Amino acid sequence: MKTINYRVVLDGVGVLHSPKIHLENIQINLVSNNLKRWECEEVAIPVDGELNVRLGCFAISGTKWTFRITNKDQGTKVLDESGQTGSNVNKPNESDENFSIDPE
Amino acid sequence: MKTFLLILNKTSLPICLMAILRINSAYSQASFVQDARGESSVMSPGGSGIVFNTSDAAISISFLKAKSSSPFYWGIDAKFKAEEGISLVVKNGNINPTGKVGGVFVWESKPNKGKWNNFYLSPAVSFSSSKLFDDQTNLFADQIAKKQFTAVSLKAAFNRTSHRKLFCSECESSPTILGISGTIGTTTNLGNLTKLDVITYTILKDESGQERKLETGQTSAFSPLSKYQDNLGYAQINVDWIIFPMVFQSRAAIAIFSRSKFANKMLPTHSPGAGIFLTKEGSPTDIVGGIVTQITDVFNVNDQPNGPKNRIVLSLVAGYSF
Repeated sequence: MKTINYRVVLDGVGVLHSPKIHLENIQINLVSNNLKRWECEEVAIPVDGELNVRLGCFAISGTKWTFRITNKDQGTKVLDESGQTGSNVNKPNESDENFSIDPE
Repeated sequence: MKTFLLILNKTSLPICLMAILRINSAYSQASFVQDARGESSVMSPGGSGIVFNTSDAAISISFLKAKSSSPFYWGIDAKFKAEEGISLVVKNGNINPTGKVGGVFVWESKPNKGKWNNFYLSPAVSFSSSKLFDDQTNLFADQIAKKQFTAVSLKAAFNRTSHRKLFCSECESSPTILGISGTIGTTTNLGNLTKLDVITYTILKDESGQERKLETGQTSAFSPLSKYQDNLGYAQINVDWIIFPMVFQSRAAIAIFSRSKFANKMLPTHSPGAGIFLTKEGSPTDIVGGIVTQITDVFNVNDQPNGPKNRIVLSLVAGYSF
């Protein structure tokens, strides 16, 4: 197991409410100054094998977002995903996504 | 990123509905779908930054602070403008600001199944400058008086975002926002006065007696000065209901709203209305255009002449976000 420093950015085209991001089941605290762009400049995560990521956020259905995780130690982008709330018709006004990715 | 809303200004056009097409301007940092006067109970934070609103000749600055770990967030915003359409905050050595400085303090409930609530408090101080026509004097130079007024207000609001199925139980749920707000504060009675276009002419005569009239100035003023009052206490209740029909794939919103104002020494007025808005792709709460109609003082308690057609306002809305 090794500890890796990550930068996490959830960038909404519109306002995003109550974003919940977990890396390896650790909830990340994000800050925002407009409710659209939410970010955590640096967080250290102990990783063993794949990096498990969960993204949850709420917004009026159709609100697009981009989710990026960067390995700050190596300067590499480990996740770059886009989506929109309500893409799952059973979850209006919401996004709930899971990713398992190469941690480096 | 930043959103502001322009409601294009002061053009009246005759239309077949005999309504008035009023185009005016308003900045919408803290509100989303607005009525014809730029008011709403629904809060939609647009972000931080500096905006120059060209049609309103106003500069707005806003700031918002939120953490994902906390249900509370807060922000401030300020808007400065000049009455003459030029941002002259200092004129002839005198500070001459008009505008508004306010804060917002929000508590947001934990979302559940695509539904959540916001409660917010928004105190504000606004500075306004108005021209009044004095019909008691024959001296032209004294007929237009300027009144400056500093108003305070406190708004408390509840917003509920949810979704509902329209037309059929198998249909996709359409997002909705319900907003209810109550505001108390101080105001003037300008709304009860008559707005005049005061035009100044110079009349030239030649030797044959022919006259030529030159328009040398035009200004809008409320009349009469003798009936002007300020520091009147008031309360206002705004109710908005907005739906984003999924048939439009979140690119359109329909709003129904009402505005009820209760002011000291004035009769209560009720002004309902409705609007249709086109929204930005990927951001349903950012407006790119729309049309709003509202009937001001629906029961005509202020006895405005010429029937209800003169109290129907139709506003075009254009928005831009960055």
